[in-house]
Amino acid sequence: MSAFETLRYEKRDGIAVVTLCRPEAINAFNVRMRDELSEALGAVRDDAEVRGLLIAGDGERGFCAGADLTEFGTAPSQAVARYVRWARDLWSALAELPKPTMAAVHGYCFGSGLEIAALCDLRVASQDAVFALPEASLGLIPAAGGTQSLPRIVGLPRAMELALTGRRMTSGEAVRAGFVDWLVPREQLHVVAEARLRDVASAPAGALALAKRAVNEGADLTLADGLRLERRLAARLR
Amino acid sequence: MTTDNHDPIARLTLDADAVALTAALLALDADAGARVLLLSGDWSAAGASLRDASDDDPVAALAALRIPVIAWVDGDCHDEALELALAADIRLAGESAAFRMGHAREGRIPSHGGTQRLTRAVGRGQALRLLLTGETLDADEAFRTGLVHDIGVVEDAEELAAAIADAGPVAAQYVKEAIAASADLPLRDGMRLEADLSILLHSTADRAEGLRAFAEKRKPRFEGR
Repeated sequence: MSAFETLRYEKRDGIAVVTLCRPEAINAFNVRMRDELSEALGAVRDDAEVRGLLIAGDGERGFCAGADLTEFGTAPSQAVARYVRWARDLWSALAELPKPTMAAVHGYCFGSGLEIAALCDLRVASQDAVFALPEASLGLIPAAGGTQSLPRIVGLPRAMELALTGRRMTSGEAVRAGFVDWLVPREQLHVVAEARLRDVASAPAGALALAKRAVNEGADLTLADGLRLERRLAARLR
Repeated sequence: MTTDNHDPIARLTLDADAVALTAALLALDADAGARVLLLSGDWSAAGASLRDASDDDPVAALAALRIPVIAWVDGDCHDEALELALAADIRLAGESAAFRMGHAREGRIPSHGGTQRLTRAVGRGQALRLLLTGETLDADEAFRTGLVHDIGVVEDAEELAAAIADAGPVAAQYVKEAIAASADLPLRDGMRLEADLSILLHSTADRAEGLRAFAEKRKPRFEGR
């Protein structure tokens, strides 16, 4: 059903499955994928039949090896790059999607791949998954929200260590650090992920959307303001 | 206080001179060659001198450093010493490390950020427990509560410092700035800071060198500009 070049968009039994699909480049994130993911997120948000989003990676080698560095340096200027970043705020759109989101991670999950997973609500991984933020070793920094999302999940010291050294984190460490919620055998990854997400998404959609919003927005507020937000959101469900 | 300036890894060895520590940290922030600070030595002595020194605040100077800071702690790290260690970005402990926030047991409270940084490091429940009971944590307990990032030997701290020193120096400073800000900023504002820092990096020679080196499959030679 999709006319995308870098993604597969499938609706299955109440959930949307977006598969990053450039397996020849370990699904490296490029400009085209950015535009297509943005479009896909709009479809997920607006389609009432879709109750949750699963993001997976195509091919044997991994979920996503990071940004496609062959496109770096093609932005016309810093001013244009900054404009483009906010013209369509893809990463906030993913973080704020009012439906449960889950990443199913296998193999390489580097750079933007890790950042995409970190912006999802839940992460399922197979044992072969390996995580890294190699940006600083290339003179770059993570730019898909990773400096903000990762410390919120694993704490500042581990986020600093991973982002400063670029070292690889195994799936086992990722579970212990609270980054991966469930570890499953490779051959069952996508089946288990879909089943888990469908189970999560079977709860009333309004409650899921508001619970997600209360947690995410509340994390950025003082306790008193967070409690007021929670009361206000809860009242909508009565 | 001993320093070694001919190395991308700056090393400060703590002793009983808090005034010299502040001066060394201020000098370090102006040293363009330093890419990471490894802080080690006699935390106990440094903590005691910090308690007596009223004017100079090495803790504030440490927290304000632009380069990433690793604290290597093996031995007692109590009260003011722990407040100093909490201002580092990553704490690593040796097996004989012992941590305690005992101010309140002596009728004082921390005044070098201890109540704020301890709470951010271990969460409100553990912070209150440590502050109110004055309980001493060994290395394993400190690891379990998240007070230290890992337990190891001093070579592990050196290895971590070397890995950080290999990163693009400006990128490493911006990573530190953005991740540190994540604790204080709403997600959207933090993302804005991250994007601005990322795009500012487009202007650096290091970014161009990093991408060139990647394409040529060699190790980059960063200059910190």
